[in-house]
Amino acid sequence: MSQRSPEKNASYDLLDLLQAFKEGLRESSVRTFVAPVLIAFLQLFFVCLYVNEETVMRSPSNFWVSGESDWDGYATVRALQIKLQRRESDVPLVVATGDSMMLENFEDPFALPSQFRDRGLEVEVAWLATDGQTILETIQLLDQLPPNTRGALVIGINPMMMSHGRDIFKERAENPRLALTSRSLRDEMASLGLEPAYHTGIHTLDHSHFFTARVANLRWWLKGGASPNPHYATETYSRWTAQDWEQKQSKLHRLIQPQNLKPTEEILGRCLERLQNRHPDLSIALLEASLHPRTEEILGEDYVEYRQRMQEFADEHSVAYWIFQDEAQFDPEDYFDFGHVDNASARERYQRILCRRVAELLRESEQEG
Amino acid sequence: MKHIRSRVHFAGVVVQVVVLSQLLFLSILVLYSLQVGARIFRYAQF
Repeated sequence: MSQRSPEKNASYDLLDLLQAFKEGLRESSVRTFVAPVLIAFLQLFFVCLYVNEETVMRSPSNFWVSGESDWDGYATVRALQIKLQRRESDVPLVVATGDSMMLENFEDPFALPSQFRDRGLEVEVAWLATDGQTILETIQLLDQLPPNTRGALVIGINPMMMSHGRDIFKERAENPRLALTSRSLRDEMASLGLEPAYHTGIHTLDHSHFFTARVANLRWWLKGGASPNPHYATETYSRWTAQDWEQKQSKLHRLIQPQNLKPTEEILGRCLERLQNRHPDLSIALLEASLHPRTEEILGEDYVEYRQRMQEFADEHSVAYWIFQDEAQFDPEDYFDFGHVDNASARERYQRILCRRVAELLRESEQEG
Repeated sequence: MKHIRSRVHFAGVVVQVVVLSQLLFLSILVLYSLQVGARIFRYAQF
């Protein structure tokens, strides 16, 4: 029998070990079936326990932003920062909410703190406007303000937002967009006859829609999130043409009808009462969006009545009702569609007006205080 | 030698279990999120 050389022996051993490793990789047994299932579910369990309000709040502000248009992710993290970090703060807070018209019509909401500083006001700003925001998301966001918040709150409204009906509320109840726990939201849903999802107290499970919707955007997660862009819609889609105006005219007109305004008006009314009781030093203003002159023309008398009704509503609830339309002097060419503005200089002008009016509101409340 | 062989075999089993568990974990998340994500509409109304 021939003796193998030590080199040959070593290479034989290595091949044998490689073979053993391969066999291990391919082993099909109870343990290779049960163990992965067990590990995967344990991992899900620990992720559920680990991701809570605190960890979401502490994540970088754009980590949960799954794309340039994802203001829901941004507003969720920002609202949690306000809720969990501001309890001891003395700096006044300026909060702004609303839908896409609040996002599009201001040039750079992130520049607001420095613009207030230029006016001699040291404030913290929470920009909580989100695309397609309904009153349900508004109350969900505003419910996060810690008790006795001092400062100013601007709620962006418009005839479209004020005319949301039960169908859109039902859609939002089934597909919530924000990961925020809100008692008022649950109460309002019940008042609308909508069934809020079962509340477990485990953040990840209660807001599974929010988290799982973002897993689908793994590429953003791997990049560490995206920066939300207020002008995503006007930069991405195309401007309304004459044909668009023709097609959408009847839809626009259907939006303002007294029976359509009632649900949102009632919810907003209760929201304002809650805010005034909970935050006596918070000055509130409703900011009416500026609409394209042609939209106003299409809506006609209904729009005049709507604005009158909103003015009365604001007076009834002792909040300011702002319309910057005349002051902003938008040109029809500044508009992208029925009410979103895509001209940067017009948006800058609009933002300066907001800044000045909020500063006045803060000074007035300081003097009264 | 036999002892080392069985350890290497076990290492292969561990790698298999880890890879399969991560694939299962990610596929549960992705399938659920696709099911959820598909129902969420973003730029609404017009």
